[in-house]
Amino acid sequence: MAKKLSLNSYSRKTFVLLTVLLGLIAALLVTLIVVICLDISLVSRVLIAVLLFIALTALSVLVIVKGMQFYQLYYKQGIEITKHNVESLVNLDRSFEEYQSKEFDEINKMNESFKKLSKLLGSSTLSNSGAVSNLDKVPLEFEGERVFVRERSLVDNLKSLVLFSQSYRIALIDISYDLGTEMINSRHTSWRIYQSMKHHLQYKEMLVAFKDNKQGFLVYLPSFDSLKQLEEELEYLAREISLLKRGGVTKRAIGAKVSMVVYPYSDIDHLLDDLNKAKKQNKALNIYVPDNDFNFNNKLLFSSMNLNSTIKLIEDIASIDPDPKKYQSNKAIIHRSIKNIANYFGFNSGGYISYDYENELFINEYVCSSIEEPIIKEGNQIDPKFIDALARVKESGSSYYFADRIHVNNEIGYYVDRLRVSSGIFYVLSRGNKVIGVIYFLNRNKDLSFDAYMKQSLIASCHILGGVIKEVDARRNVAVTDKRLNEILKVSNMRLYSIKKDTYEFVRYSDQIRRLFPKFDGSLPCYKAMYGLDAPCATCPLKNHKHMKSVIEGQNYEVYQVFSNKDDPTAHMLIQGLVGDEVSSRFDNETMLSSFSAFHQDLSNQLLAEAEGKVLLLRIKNSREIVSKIKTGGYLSMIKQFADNVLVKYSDFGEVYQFNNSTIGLILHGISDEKILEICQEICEICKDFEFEEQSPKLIYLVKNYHKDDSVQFIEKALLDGLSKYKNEDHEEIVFIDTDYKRSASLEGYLLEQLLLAFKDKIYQTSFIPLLSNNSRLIYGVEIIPELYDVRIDKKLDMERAASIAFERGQGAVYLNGIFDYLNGLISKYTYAFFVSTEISKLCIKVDHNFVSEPNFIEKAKELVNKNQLPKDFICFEVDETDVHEHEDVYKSIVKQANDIGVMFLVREYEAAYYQVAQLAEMGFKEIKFSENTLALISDQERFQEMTFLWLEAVKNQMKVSFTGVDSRKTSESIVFEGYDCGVSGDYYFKPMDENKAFETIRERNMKDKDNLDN
Amino acid sequence: MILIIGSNHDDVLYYESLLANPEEVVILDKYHVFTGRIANQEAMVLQDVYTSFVSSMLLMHIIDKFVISLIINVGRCEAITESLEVGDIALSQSVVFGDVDQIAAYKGTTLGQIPGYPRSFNVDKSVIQNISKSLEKIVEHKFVNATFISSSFFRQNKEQVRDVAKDEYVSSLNKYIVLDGESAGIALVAQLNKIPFISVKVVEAKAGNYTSLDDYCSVLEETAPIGKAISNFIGEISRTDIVRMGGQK
Repeated sequence: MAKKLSLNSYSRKTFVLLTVLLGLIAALLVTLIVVICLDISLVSRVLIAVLLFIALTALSVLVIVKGMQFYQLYYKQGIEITKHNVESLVNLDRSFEEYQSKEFDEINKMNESFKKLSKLLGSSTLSNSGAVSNLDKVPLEFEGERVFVRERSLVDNLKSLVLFSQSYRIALIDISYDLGTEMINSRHTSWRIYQSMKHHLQYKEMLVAFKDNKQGFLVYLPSFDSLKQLEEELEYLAREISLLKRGGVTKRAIGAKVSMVVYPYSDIDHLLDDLNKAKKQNKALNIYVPDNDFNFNNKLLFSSMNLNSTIKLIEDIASIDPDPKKYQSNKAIIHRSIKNIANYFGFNSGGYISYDYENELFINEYVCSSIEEPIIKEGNQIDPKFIDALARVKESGSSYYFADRIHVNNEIGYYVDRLRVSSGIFYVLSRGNKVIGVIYFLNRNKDLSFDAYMKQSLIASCHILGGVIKEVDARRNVAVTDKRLNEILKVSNMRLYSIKKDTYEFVRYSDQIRRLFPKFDGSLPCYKAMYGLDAPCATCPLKNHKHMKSVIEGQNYEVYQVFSNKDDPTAHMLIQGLVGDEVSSRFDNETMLSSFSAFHQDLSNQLLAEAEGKVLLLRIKNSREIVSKIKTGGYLSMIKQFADNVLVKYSDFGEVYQFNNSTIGLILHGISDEKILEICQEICEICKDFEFEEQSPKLIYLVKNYHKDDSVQFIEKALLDGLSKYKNEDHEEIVFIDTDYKRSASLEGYLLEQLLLAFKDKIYQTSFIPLLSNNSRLIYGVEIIPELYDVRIDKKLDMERAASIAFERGQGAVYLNGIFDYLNGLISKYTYAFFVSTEISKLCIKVDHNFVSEPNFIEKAKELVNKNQLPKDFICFEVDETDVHEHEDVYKSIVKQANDIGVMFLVREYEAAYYQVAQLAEMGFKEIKFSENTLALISDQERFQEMTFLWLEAVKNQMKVSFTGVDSRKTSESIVFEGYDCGVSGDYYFKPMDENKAFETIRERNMKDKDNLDN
Repeated sequence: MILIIGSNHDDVLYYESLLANPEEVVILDKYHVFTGRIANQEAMVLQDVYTSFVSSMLLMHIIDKFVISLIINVGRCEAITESLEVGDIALSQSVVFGDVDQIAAYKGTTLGQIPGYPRSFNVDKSVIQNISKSLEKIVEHKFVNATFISSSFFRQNKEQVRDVAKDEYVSSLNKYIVLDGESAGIALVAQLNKIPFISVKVVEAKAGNYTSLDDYCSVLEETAPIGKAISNFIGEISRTDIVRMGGQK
């Protein structure tokens, strides 16, 4: 490539020397020519030559000086200053240099233009210091585009990436799929998922790593504005990147599991650990922010930035005295500070929306604007839905910052568009959950490009200003509210008082208190003022967290704390009168659930009525973790939420009792073991979907029978002993206290447990369906159906589902080995000679792609055939047409391998929905078994013709045909087609039967009845 | 060729996986569609169809370029009728525009009606019957024939389509009413070109309610059985073709 020349390559000295030299040479040449040409004396010639040379040299010097001036103007100013100014513009820096040659109009005009540009950039406070890519500083191993990176490379360089980044927040996102043993093998699929990521996560310098296990992605996302917004974007992303899982009998659409952690909420060294914790939440979208007490905004804002310039903007507010009487002057100072911030950061509009308590409205109290029309006019009412939306989308630090319209949450997008706003910040002021004001700084047609420090300065300013506004408003409102509350308490009949938790001094009390205690003195601590004591009461509810019984003027009362909140320095107490000595109440006053005494009472009534049934206790095992998460309300709040959400469906069974702070009780009259197991199983499933602050309750289910001869005390003791005995169970289990019987509470766990139990102990249960020849009506084979029973409740379980769970959870080998063990045992027991003598030529068993995909399937089948010296096609595996269609690749390989070792496959539930007969024959299948649906429609002439066509095709392809589900003589007689034989089975011939009965039937049918049939 | 249309990729995920010998075709330099065979039938799977504006425009273009014999619109809808639950399946018996008001523009025009077009677009009964048969065999959830109101407002709420839904004519069409985004555009073009169409959608939420991602995943579970039923329905057409083809031999 040719080297390009630069103006800088010509030095200024060379330029000057060359110019001088050329000038002198020119002057000399002209002088010589003139002198030679003139016909005059030598003296005259010399004189003229000298004069001419001097004149020409002077002219040359003049030319050189002018040349230098032009150099100064065009090179030095024209190029160097322009170059500097263009670079400033690229970096959004407003420090432009002026052109010095102000004698030219054009130069002056250019200077004016740059001044305007400087002002414009100054007012917008743009910065592009983060324009240099941080990725260049980290040795990442890219794959193709500079967005795809190897997983190992991303993980190894994660710390460096975070350290080099100047970003405010960095997200690490895991997108994974519960694919079991499957993988994302298609490039098209992974590319499609990436395209969706690109569409929804429009952030600079995103890195995507396709995980090595090919079951998901790891995404590194630096510099995003809003956690809420990102959460929303991830929700939208997750809704269009689902995949199909081919596990089980059919395909299943599964959603992506998206998990995210954010630096600096997560420590730089714990990002990956925290990401694993997030994944364990096991929801569709899991966001893990490790320490909720970590006040991110304050800590980062005040430790890592220079607040000097920001402080100057709001220094006036130091002079604020929050005295309610100075409310108006304080407001003026606040408004001035808002204006300063808006000007400094170059926002088009800044202002404050306040809540009008009198009229219950949000009003735009103040606005300043650098554009003609303010974005929100002063005095305008603000749509409360907009405020609600802002309260929902705001960050934990109360602010909502958006650099451009793309990154605005959809919840507020509608309002932002109506205001025609492009970028800005909303700072939401709240008291509890109630929004009391919003500070805002907004731009129209202008995006923000603040770096982390600018952004933090802005948020810090809002944070300080917001605190002052809240204080000023609060002082004013407290004066009004206090007055009103006292009025309400006066007119009400409530005996309510509030005391300081540390000193027991009264904060306020209702007039009823004064009436109750004739010698009451509100200036004294409560124990002194009410009971005349010198120290707090021994049974004080504040200390003991229990209700306190109190006798006042001969009447029984109960004193307890209401609106309990550990963050509130004030305790609020209620005094309630009691009838007689009955202290216990039917309902717990705080949870409104039936109390333990109600449980006791109702159980006594059941026993008195000689009723029988079961008590079910649901103990929340992880109550401690839940309580630490929910923070406010403690155990009582937990138990109430649990009862309200989980047990609402069971209200028909009777009352829900609060047995203790972590246990719920139910008294279930006349209920069977099976039903109670079903209820526990259902509750377990509901619990999986219910969460206390991202923590699902884990339960132990204790069941205790009650009979008429039992005493309440005996049952309660057994329950308490049970709670103590089974408190450390690892799994969620149902425990029958009387018999110590335990089983898994989740249906899936239970099915797997039963299957493993049966198969490991070789307790196989099966039923048999005899298969008959349609022509001879002799039994030529049997279909073996593996079954699963829970002997305790004598219930047949769903074997197919249990097997499917076993395969999903990596226990498929147990099932496969069990089936082959059983077949081996069956053939050994009856001997192959028996099958020959009874003309049984086929043992069929239904399997699916999971079964045949087990690594040792072929080996086991081969062993079965060889060990028992079975003839070809004696062992027959039946598979559904749909399963074949959905797992064609598996069958294409396995069926032929099986044929090679003498094992055949047939396609059952055949409806020609996916395959023509010839296609199945080509894959190696040797028989088609029509579905019951096909058989049901056989009376329809058109369907019969279709069926016979397929039958004929089968004959042509040397495939057998069979029909299942023959349940009537009429159907049986309709299966006739040009004398072709076929297999038939169904209730019309034989219903499913056990092993002994099946072999007895074979003997009778094929040996004894053979002669009769022949005749 | 059978055309299957969905709003996003999750809607057509199952059908895309069924395509044998899939080929990608780009339409109007923007829409990536896949063609191939589903149960022995030529099929085309189209996604990213949001609003009736886009569905009608795209469909008009596709009909111009390909021979389309049946249009199946799949995906998710929202229930206006209270008795419809999340996970229930709605089959379009009739389709109405939910965001059209031309009453003042043309005499005799009613709410939801485009002047010169019927008040509602009805779906061929035989298509409904045959899809119902397949659904009956395969899906566990309730499926109902419903009136589809299509509106181009996302996350529609009852208020936005209240007037149309309360219209006596619309409420007389069917007991069940659902909302979606693109059916009406499809119905309009299908009717102009005399091509049978149907919308088969699973109820994602009550109208105006937000569906959490976890709820969405449970609704997603329904898409495969519905897909299976629809492919079974296509297979029925295909199977008859196989039999007839064999018979002709």
